[in-house]
Amino acid sequence: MVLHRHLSRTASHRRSLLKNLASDLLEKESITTTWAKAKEAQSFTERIISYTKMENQEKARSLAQGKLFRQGTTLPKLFEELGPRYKTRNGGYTRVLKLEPRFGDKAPQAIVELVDGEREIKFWLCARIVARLERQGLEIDETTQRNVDKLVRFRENGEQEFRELVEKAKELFYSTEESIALRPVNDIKLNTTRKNIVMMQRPVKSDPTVKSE
Amino acid sequence: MSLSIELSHLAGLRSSAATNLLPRISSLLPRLPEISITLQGSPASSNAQENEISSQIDELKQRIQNSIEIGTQSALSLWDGILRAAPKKKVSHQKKRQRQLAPGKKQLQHLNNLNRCPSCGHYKRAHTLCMNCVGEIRKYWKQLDAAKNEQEVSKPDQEKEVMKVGDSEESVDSVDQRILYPGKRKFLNELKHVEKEEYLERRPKTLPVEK
Repeated sequence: MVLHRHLSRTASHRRSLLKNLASDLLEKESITTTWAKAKEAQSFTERIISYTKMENQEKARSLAQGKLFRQGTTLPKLFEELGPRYKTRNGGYTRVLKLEPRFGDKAPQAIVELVDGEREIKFWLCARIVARLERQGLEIDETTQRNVDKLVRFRENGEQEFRELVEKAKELFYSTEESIALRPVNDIKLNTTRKNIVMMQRPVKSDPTVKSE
Repeated sequence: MSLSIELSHLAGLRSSAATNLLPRISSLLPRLPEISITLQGSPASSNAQENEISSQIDELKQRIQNSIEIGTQSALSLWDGILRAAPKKKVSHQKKRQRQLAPGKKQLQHLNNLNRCPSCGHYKRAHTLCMNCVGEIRKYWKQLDAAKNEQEVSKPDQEKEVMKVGDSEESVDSVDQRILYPGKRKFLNELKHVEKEEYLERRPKTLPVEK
């Protein structure tokens, strides 16, 4: 059984919210909302995209029509651009990335994006990381390499696009020496456990038996 | 002789005190409007006066009954404005500190989920994007979009100018043009929008990861 979030809305309100989010996502390829809405929008949109793989295209169109607003722009994009793009993928057309909490109400935010889009934030961030490592003359580490491979795998001309973006990132973000001054620190363990953190403590009462003078 | 004078003096004092005290006491008592219970100084009272008093008491009873039925105020709102719930003493420094600092939940928690952002080398939360790097990328995208929009806007303008020249309209002097078309006046809220950078809270950049 699939349980969905209610998002503090009535059924009709929730439905139109999801339709709005999905339509925006298909149009813009990337949206920023709260994390809970992002997760709901993700599953809602993935289902819509999977309609493009149905044999009965007429039925697929009618199904998608009921779940989208602004059908004049969203439907053609869905069936003519996104359908062919995700032909080789079995699900996983969208990605949710967590952001820092929002200013004001501290709501956890997230980015929802369509995979293999033009302005895919993860693609750009990975290109940035590779550009930085190359500028610093360091080897590309295991995690970054794995991420790059994943990003490039289903993308058309993926590797070439990635290389171009890396060169661009070098110009845009790492042109100065200051920007690459901070080198990775291997010595300190960053995922700090409670032991490693020096807790703020009250000053320990001095032992009366030991006298300083 | 002297005794008698003293006695008379005392008697005079007593009488004056009695007359002076009466209004003071009445001012201290709660005031019930439109009810005046006259206190008779003389011990012997007539039946008519007793009847009058009993009728006044009946009236008072009825009033109390009415006010209870309405339920707006307490039946005898005697102490309104005089007694209210209020702290009896100032909370001492020790008690205040105990209340605020003893429960660990009320204090700021340590962030144990910190990572190093591989693209800027500063701290970031684990499983979360670095807002600085994302912001920089988005800023670049905005610039791209703005440049694209400008191109689109400038194209039709050029066409218009060509049209104007073609029509050979009267060319307006630059000074005349400024007087004729002074442009849009900026409202207060728009001016405030310009100063947005000053009052808007920005996310500060996190500290660099250094040994």
